[in-house]
Amino acid sequence: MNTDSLRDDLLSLVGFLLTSAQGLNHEPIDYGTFRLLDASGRVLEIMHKYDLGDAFTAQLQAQINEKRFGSMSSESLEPFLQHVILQYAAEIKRRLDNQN
Amino acid sequence: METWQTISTRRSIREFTNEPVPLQSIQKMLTAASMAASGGNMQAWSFLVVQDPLRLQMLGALAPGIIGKPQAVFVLCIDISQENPEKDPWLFQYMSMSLGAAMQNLLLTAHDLGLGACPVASFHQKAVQVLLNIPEHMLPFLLVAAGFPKYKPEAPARKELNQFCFAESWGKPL
Repeated sequence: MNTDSLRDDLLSLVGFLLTSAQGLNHEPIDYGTFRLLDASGRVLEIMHKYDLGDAFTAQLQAQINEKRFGSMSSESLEPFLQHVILQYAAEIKRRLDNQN
Repeated sequence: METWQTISTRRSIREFTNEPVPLQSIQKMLTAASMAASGGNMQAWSFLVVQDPLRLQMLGALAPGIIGKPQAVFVLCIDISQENPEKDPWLFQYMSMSLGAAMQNLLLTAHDLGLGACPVASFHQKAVQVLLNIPEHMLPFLLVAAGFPKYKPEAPARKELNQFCFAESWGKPL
């Protein structure tokens, strides 16, 4: 693993989180939801770049990217988030069961 | 591309391929921006283009509004040294409106050249100034992320004209 590159990627992520936190003080409230969704996509991207992903994370990333890169709309992200969170919960439960 | 076709088919593009943006395209986009309507012909603007990959990554870290990985980012600045709040408190508004017109010319020209672009207002102005050595009197006001589009998004819903356009008197339909 190229640790220099990983350090740069994580440092960029920290910058994104800090500037998001500051910007959200005066941005529309929906932007907060979107920024966290975007951050999730960025974390998954880093995982895949450094071969830390798998089929589940790839599929999760694809779903998130569809929302990240699509047209901005007034459509609520709530149903989508509920859907992927339940998928996520089922997956971590499956992983937990496999460990036991 | 015909003007109407360019206007009506432009989309905000947030995901880009790895293909670099040719210098000729950059120059044409900047020229188009510089030809925008400018209040009092002040042209109180400066444009800075970032294409270096590492600098783009760091700029992205200071600009949460940049979602994907653009191959070029245009930093559109307002020359606030031309402001005179005591004499003309409205001047900043004129300058920012002019910059908006320049941005639209840039977006349309990008689309006309087969590129995709997206305006970005969510970024930390001071931090971007520091990162890119932008002088104090040049306020980074808007960013435009650009590159070759990875895909073309569907057109988002737009309001019907009769919802917000009137003729002669407010509320009277066209």
